[in-house]
Amino acid sequence: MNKLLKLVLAGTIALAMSTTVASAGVAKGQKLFTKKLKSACDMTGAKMAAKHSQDEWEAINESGKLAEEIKTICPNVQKVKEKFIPHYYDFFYEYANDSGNVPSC
Amino acid sequence: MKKNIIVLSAVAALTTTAFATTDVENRLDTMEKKISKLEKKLLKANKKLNKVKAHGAKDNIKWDVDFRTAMDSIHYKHASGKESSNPDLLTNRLHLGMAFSPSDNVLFKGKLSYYKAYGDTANHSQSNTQPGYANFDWVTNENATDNTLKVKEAYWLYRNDTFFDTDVPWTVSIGRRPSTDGLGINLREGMKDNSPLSHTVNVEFDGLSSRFNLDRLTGIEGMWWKLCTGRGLTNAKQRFSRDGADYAADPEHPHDTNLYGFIFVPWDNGQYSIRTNYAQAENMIGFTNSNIGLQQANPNDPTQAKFSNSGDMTLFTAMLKADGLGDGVSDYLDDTITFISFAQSKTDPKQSAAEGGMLGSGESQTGHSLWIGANLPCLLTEDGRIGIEWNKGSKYWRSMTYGEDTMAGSKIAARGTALEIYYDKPLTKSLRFNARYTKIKYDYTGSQAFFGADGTPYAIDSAQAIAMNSVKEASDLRVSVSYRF
Repeated sequence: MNKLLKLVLAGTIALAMSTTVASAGVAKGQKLFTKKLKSACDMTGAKMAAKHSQDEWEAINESGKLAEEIKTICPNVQKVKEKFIPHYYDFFYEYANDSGNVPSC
Repeated sequence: MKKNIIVLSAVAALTTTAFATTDVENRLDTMEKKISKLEKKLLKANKKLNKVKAHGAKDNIKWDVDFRTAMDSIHYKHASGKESSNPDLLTNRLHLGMAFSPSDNVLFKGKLSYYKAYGDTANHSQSNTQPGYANFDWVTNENATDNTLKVKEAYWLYRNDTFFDTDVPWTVSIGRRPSTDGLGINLREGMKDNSPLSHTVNVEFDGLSSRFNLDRLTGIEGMWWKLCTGRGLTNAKQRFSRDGADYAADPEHPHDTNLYGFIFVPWDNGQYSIRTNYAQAENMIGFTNSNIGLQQANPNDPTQAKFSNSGDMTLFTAMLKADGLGDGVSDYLDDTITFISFAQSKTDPKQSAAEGGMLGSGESQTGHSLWIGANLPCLLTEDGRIGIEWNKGSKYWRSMTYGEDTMAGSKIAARGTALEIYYDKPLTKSLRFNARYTKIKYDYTGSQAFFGADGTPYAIDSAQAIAMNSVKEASDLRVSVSYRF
């Protein structure tokens, strides 16, 4: 392995150990929905996300009423953990009914 | 006189003030009405805008990109004692994903792919495909070949919430399937899993699938069943054949290779799940002893290699997966993924024992494999993940995992033991770092071969293995950075 490659490798590993990315994400939200809400909601995550447009999800989230809205759509949901809200929001926003995004099947 | 003037002034002032107040109130009323009208107009405009946005969003293909630059450091120890290696194999891989859903019931998905080692190849073939099978259809997008963009996936899918008036949501889909990087092998790359369980099937495939969600019907959480069928090899002459029989089956070559199977999930509560995969593959290809003799006598003539119909194969997998351990015990356990998977392969030879039968035996042979893995949050970094996986395959174990993304050969296919550790971490919202070390120790030869005599399992220290210079140990250290968006 030449010196340049070793240098690039060392730099990349150092970067990988030091950077931190805001961890809210679409994939995490989708996974959490499947794990925590899907059964109580009795619908797929894609159907849940399609209940609103992106603007509507944004307005609901900004007004701090996402947990309330989840319970309204899914009356069987007992509790929505506060720390999961950003992940749910990212997922719902990504696949909102006017997003044009297609969730995996 | 003075008093009169004062009284008159006061009356005039009061009257003026009264008129002014009325005027302000009128103006406010008018303004309120105007604002209300404007609000209604804005609401209408917003509704129209949302409709236009939704229409626009559903009127075009959505693209996603996965572009990976990797450096693999590969080493082999052969049964003969020789060693071979490539300490810094550099590759670029591009996946262009497509998705389009013109209506709620129908969607299209596709993936274009390019995968190539840096620069030209040392023999100027640029493709690394002759001699060899790197561009074989099952794996053509999983091997570093040339700079062409090829179709890795392309399929449509129809879905409905009811099946003949029963409460069974279902789908049907046809095309080039998302049949690589299924559950298990996806974890090391931080990817969402594709369709089949990757313990037995991890190759590109053209076919049909149809899934039925049975949870509402049976009351069993997360239960579903999915039919998978398709064709892995088509026997048809080329267009403009000399005998005029264009696309007719050619008796000189093996029959069509067909596959039938299903994925059955008897229970899945979103955290814990049981998954099974059964597949029956007919007319699997391989080389007979006679043909291997011809190839050895003419090592520089790739046309001597001709496939025969080695036989049929049955594959079965059962996997237990936990996506989080316990409920709310700790964030660490909530975010820990573990799995254990057992798989079995069974041959049904169509070649004689003298010609090597199937996997070198004229009789039906059964192979087994066990695979255990854990994907854990990394304690050193906030969002990194580390993983460890171990698998062991028996003498006659044979998976169809040729498309596995391991440069040193499919670790899952090993008739021996494989150990892997990895680290995966997002660098930014779109860049991702991955480091992985895979070590495979073979107990028998033929792990990465086709299904005929070429797949004969000689003990790795046997005279045959030494004479063939078979790989005894393989290792691959990969460091990669991917752009995904």
